[in-house]
Amino acid sequence: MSDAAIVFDQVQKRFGDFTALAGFSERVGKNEVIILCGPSGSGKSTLVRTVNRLETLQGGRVLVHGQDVAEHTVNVDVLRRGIGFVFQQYNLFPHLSAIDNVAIGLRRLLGQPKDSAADQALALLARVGLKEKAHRRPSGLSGGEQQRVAIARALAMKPTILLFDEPTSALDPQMAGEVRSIISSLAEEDMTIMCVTHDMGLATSMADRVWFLEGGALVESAAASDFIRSENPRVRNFLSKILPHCR
Amino acid sequence: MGSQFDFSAVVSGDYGKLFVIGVQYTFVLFGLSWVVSMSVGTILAVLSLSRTKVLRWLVAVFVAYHRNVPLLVQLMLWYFAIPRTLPTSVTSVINSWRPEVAYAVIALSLCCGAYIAEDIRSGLRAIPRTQFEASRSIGFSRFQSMRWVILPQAFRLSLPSLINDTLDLFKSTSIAAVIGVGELTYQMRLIENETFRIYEVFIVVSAIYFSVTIPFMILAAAASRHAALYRK
Amino acid sequence: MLTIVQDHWSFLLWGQFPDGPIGGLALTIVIAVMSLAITFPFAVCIALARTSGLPMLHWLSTGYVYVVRGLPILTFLLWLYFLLPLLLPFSITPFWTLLAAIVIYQSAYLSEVIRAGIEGLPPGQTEAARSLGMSWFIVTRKVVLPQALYDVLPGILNQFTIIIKESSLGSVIALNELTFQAAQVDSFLVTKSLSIYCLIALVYFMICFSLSYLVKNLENRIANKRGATLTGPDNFGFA
Repeated sequence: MSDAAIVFDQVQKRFGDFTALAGFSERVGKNEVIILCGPSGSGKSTLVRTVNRLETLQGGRVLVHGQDVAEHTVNVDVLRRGIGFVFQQYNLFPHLSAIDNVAIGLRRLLGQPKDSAADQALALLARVGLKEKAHRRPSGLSGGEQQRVAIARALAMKPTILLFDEPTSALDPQMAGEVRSIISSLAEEDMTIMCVTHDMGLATSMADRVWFLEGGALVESAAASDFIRSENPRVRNFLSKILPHCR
Repeated sequence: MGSQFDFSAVVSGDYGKLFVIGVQYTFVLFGLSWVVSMSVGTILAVLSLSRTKVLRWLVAVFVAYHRNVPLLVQLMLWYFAIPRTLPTSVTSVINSWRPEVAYAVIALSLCCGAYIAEDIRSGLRAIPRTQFEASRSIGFSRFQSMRWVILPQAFRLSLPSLINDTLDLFKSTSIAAVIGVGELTYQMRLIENETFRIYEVFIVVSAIYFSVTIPFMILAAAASRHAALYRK
Repeated sequence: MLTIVQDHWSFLLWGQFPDGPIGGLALTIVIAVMSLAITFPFAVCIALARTSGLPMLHWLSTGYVYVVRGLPILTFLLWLYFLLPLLLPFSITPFWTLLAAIVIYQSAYLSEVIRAGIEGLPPGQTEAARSLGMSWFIVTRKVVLPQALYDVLPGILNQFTIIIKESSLGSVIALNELTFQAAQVDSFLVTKSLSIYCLIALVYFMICFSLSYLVKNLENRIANKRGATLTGPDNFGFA
């Protein structure tokens, strides 16, 4: 238990009649990189969203660093500072420039002075290759650039856990490539990552394990290289749809 | 009535002073009411998103009342009726100042606040829920998300209607003349009564109103053009 | 409040009618309906002038709208109250003074509502009609106005509720409409201010609220049919 960053314990989530997670149990080790895939409606996005409590549970527990995220004594705002979240649709704040999007948490949550927050934000933007476009509004950036700003924003609070919800699926292949290489480089660091994606390139380049979900339950958990050679017929069926050549 | 235009007859000496007093009262009413109505409007707009049904309902009733009853009647209610129901300890405090100004500010602020609440609420509704999720994910509380992420966007989206309602508030200050606040329209009537120079007086008063309202109208037109571009 | 209604209902509802002049709520409604009826053709003309594309007409009408919107209606009403007796060879009643003020004022606001409707039409509509060889007059009457006015019907009705509320200003020039009658009853009864003002607030509220409810329904129905909502500028002057 002590070396697990995230523990899912009998996690249940329903939306009306639809069961998104049916008693899901699994653990993610410290600095482990997990790729989640599965058909749409399999519960993979919901699972990731339970970690920083964007979804409330109907049963079971999610522990982050041994703490139950739903516990009343847990300050969810402090918990979320330690967990970076990157959305499929970037969700940048449209009224703020790129640098202000990254700096807003440093300024308003950590109370840092304007200059030092801006310096850190600029360093993070440089890291995702967007130093020159720091003062543009999101509307003046391409999708790939917006997603890179979103990653810089998630990194600003120095999280130990990073969650990605289909970070490249709204992007065209070239832009996806830029974002993919940044995410892979993060996997090299001391960072626990859970990433929902159908991007098998991303999976093979960085995953310690790939989880395959269906109907709100784990069907297969394997190393990336083993996963694409899986004999499980449901995995094969899924892979044949996203990777036409491995039929 | 004089056969020729003579502005000096209405702007010099005592009459000139009355105009200055009128302008001062108009701006005091406008300034105070604007600050209060913006605060009232913002708070009501945020409350209208509350999960508590009773709270949402109360906001809806407040807004509906102020939008569907003439401002003049609202003002009369505040000035003629409500003080009689208040305890004397409260009314004596108000009366020691200028009761007509106080009640005019209350009536104007609440009425305009209801309109501003609607402006901001429609701005808030135009902001996708995912913006809220994104700011919560960074670690902002509900309140901080409102303060730093959601409301700044809502204000930007509702800027054209906020400017329009600010303009309407400025013009509505004239209604305080009815309960004897010595603002511009009140002074206009006074000076007209004494000098009978109705053209000169009206031109001076209009010029003063225009000097504020025309810039506001140009600003509002520019803001709505800008908003139309922003949404594309 | 109930005893006030019992004792003064006819006074508040229609003044001294039929023994004397009509007043109270009935007069308020007469003013509002007549104002809208007289305002409407003016507003259509101003809206057409603003969208005509003729520089002269455009600037004149735009100037008119800006000037009128730049002044409080009460200021304007009080000025007319002084001015009209001097200009006119015959004596004028407060009723016609108020009507004149509302018509001049609302023709500017209503024209903005109608203009929004005209400008909201797809340009293809007029182009198609003009290319059939129709004159500007025919196109405007047969193609543009029927559609534009239909689209802004909710906006026009909304303006009607604003006129009802504005008619309360008649009390300032001693016109015996609803608000004035209420003030009369108030000064007669002396101690019943709260009840009497709450009562007329309630009356205005019920009328205007049901109208706004109607507007909302109409808006939805028209939006469903045409795929767009147009109500024009939302103003609250003396709301």
